[in-house]
Amino acid sequence: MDRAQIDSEHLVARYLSGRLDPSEEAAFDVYCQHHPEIYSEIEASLWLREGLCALHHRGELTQLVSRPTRHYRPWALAAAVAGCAFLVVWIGRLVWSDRHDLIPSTPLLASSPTALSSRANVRLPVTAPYSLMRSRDTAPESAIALPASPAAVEVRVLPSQFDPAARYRITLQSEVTGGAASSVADLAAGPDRYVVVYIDSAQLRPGDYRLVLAPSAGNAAPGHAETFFLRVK
Amino acid sequence: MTGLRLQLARAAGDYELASDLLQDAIVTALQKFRSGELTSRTHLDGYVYRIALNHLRNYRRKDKTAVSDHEAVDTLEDNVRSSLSEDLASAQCARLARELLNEIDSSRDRSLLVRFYLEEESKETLCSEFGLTDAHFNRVIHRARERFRELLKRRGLGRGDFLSITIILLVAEGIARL
Repeated sequence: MDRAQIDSEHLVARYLSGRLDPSEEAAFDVYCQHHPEIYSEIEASLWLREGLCALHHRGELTQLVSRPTRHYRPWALAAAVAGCAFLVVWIGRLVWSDRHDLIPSTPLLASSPTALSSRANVRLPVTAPYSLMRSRDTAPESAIALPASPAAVEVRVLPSQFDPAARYRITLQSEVTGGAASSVADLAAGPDRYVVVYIDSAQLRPGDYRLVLAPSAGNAAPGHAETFFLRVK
Repeated sequence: MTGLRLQLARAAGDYELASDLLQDAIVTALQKFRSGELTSRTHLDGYVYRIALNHLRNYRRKDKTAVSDHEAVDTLEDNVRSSLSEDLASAQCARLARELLNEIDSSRDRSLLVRFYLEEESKETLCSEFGLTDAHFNRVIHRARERFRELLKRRGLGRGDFLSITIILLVAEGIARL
């Protein structure tokens, strides 16, 4: 007699219920003498029988046994997977859009503060103007202090040569990151001769920027491109 | 040894009688130990257990001559006079058995387990009735048995508890009576 036989022939249960024939019983007794660890298994079987007995006499057993079979439902699993996938996509989209709030879809430069309105259509306040002009004595450079809250930074650029009919393009590019330049075209000089442009302060980062004032394409603006430097602080 | 004691009490129909039978088994074993017929503690435990098991099986054989298996389950309970500690132990067994049955999804497997362990129907009868192969039957019973043993272990009812502690207590109880 060995372990495999005891398991496959359910000898413990049969021994306890007196269903072993005399030779099997004698062999099992001998096995028990040499393998006392079997007693814990016998004891476990007795506990199980005792538990079932107790449930039977409490009137619980029938209900426990006849409870309907719990069927495995593949569609439920599929629905759960689909739900999880939807949740992941939805959360991902939220995170993505949250991150991309740092790079708004509004332009960096615009010809009017209205065009720089935030996503929530909140009109940005306009800062005090910064004027850029070429001078013989000073470098064409201006410092811009970043406002504490988002605002439209008004920059006024004075062309060296004035023509009231001319149209200009202003291009702004970071000297630090060297990223894509933003530009706005078809700008006209005002009666005071300045060409005005507005910069979204939320998109500005501390550092140096290059601002180029040039004639708009297709317009016969006088002169050539003029470069100014902005130091954002 | 609690399970054996409970089942012996059910079979004998009397908790006190079951305790006496266990004590007799212990005394006999101790005598054999002193006379050198039993040489180790492990053999002592096993011997006590085997004698008690024989008592249980004798009682159950006797019952079966009068009633059928299914009726025997009812008869065992009706006659037993139990103590508080036995009631608690029985309640613990019931809780574990309930937990086991709740974990088995198939009503057929639950029925199989009950009819095999409680109503003591044979494997051949059950396989024929449920249309199962030997291997399938073995799998169901094996899984249930192993799971039940896990539940027992989880409740701190490991193998060591079955024999040693109870025997020490019973021996102490026996000495006190002398």
